[in-house]
Amino acid sequence: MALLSRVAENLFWLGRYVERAENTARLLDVMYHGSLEPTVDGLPGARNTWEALIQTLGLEADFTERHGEPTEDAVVEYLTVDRLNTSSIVTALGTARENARSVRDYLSSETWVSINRLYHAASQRNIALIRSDGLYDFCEIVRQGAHLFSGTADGTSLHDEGWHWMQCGLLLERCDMVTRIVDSKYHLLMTSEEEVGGPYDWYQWAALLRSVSGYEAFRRTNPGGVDALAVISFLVLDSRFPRSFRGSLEKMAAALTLATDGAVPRLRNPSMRLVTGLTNRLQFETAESIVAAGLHEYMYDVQNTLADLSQAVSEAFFWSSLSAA
Amino acid sequence: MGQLAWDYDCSADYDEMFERPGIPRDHCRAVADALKLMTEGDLDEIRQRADLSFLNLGITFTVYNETSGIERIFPFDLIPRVIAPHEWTHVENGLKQRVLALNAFVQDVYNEQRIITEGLIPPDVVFNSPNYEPAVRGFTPPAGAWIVIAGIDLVRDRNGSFYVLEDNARTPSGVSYVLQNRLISTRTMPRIFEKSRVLPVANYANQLQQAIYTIQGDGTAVLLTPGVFNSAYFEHTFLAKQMGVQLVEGRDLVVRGGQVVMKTTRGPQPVASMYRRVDDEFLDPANFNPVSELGVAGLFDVYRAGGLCLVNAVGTGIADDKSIYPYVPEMIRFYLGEEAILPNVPTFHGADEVHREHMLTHLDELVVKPTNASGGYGVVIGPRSTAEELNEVRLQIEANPAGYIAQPLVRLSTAPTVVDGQIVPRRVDLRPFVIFDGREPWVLPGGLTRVALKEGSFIVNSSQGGGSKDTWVLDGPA
Repeated sequence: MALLSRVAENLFWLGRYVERAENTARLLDVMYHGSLEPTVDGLPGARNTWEALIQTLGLEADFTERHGEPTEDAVVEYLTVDRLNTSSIVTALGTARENARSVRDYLSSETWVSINRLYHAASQRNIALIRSDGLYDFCEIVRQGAHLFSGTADGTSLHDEGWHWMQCGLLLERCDMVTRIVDSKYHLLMTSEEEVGGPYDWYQWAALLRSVSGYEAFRRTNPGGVDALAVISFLVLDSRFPRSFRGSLEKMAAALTLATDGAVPRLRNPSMRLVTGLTNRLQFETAESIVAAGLHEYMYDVQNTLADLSQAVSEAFFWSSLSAA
Repeated sequence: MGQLAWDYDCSADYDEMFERPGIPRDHCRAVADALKLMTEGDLDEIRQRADLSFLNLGITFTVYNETSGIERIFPFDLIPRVIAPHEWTHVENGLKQRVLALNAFVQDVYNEQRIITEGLIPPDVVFNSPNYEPAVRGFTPPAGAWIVIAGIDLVRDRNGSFYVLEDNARTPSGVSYVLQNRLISTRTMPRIFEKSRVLPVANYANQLQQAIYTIQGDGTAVLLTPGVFNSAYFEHTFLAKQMGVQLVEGRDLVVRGGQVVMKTTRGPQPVASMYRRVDDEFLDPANFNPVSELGVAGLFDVYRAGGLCLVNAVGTGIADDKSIYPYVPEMIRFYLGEEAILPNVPTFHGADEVHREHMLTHLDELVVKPTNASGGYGVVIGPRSTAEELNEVRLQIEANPAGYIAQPLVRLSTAPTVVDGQIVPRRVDLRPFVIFDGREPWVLPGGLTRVALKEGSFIVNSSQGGGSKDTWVLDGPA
């Protein structure tokens, strides 16, 4: 029996929103702890880290309109508990839970319980509590809850079409986020070429690695040291690392292939063409060629293609416009 | 050790299990004997086992507040209500007869209207009813099956005779509780159950699916639900799984090329038949209520053109209208040439001048019901109301006489029920379910026994604090 589009769409967004909440928690945690270190403010070209975080997440327009200056307090509240921000951690988890709720009879009961618990654990915290305890606890709850969710879903669900759609959503979000994280270096050091190779530079690349739990894995594979090309090579091209762009993209391509297996070419081709374009292009890149072409431009391109992909999937399989399906 | 059942004080009214205190009815002996051996501790243990089963199976209904949903267990009473083979044969025959007549009536009022032209039912009663649907005039659904699923509410009076209290011919709910109650009672009291030789209920979903295929032939069948926020959503998911059909919402469907199709990830998939748990009014915003978000625009046009089977058919509300109910015995005579096997509760109709006079002068003895409401809402029990409340009802009846009927208070039978660790008499009714495939009605053995858990209460609806019991129809020679 073919899967209802509504069910597929809910599962896709369930995966996306849980991953988005987790990634936001990771970024926030790393940024916050970075801000506790002896200050490096005043270095030429070093820009406000909180401003850079908002830019990395692509939220600067909404944030500026409602909050103005990106102070630490404002950004932390905006990204954790602000229910008007559709990408805040609590809103993302709430949306994930609503998606799960409407396909509850499709999910294993353990999967439902894990997302429900995660949402309640996060939403019960208010901003005063988060500020007084530090962010670490909050981010840790979200990270661990997200791991519990994906582990539980993996271990208790039938791995059928619906499962593949959830994986597509989760991995697409992961691809998008890693390109933003790599690109965030661009937002931090827009004009400070002279700082490249300095202590601040080193610190920032290390922070990027930590934000994807990649620092230790990076050191193991790159005993030489932390430099831009090595980190880019690791985060973008090393498929052994599960949160690298290539690792996530290859898994997403596989999930999409399975989710759309047997669909007529008219429905299947637009999204498969886009995802294959991304994997093909990556096949012939090195860290050097990416930097030569412009890291920011490359990442920006990828993000646009991912947005097109999400749109193509939505039109062909989720009936987002009636003419498409 | 106190033996609970010996202390059971069956009331002055008819008791389902005991003839008089300490003396069980013949067919209830096995269950009563088992109860006699139980202590409060035993009951408690069974209770805990049952509650845990309900929770684990997720048989709950949800009460929503602003931020979160609270799940409650539907109150289930451990002690089954037992029906003897000969009693059941009588009920079963009566139900089949009634459903055949009601179905014939619906066909007639939308087509030839013989029962009206022959003067047996006043035209006003039919045509002024808000439940008469002009959009299906001149229409005959596939196999002539209008009322594919009926739930007929029965009560027993002081003598133990069965009466029909009301008919439900739209989308009667509650069958999932029948199936789940059975599952729980076989788990909690397996030995008594086995010894009693109870007729099975598990094939309900299969019977329903067979009926749908008999009516419409092959093609995809779906169950249409209003969605996750409907209080009966659990039942919808349960039945869809049991029937092996897709559970869909209105937004999953669209009309394309004269067909209703499901939106799937592999493109549009045509739907041939639909067990819909959405009321007529909300089925199709283009033809009925324009603000409905539960339906599918254009669905009714496909239906009228014969491209879709709906279960139940559109327009069956006329059959369970409370102002039509007094005429059902007449219908049975007219369409089947038989006398009603299950009598109606005597009913006074506000639209009839003589009846209205009787209603208004005997309000303190009667139960007054609005003709267009269900779930026990708006019911006023005369003997238990204050003068003020009766005055209020009087004014309402005078303002809109056709909107009310009245019946004498039936002293509903009682059944032993566990309340606070004690076995006490509580009033019950019975909602059996009938499936009709256009040829032969089939009756689910038993049905939903609803029990008023409050002492002395006559209202058994779950929305008004009622619970339910498993209903055991015993196998054996009628």
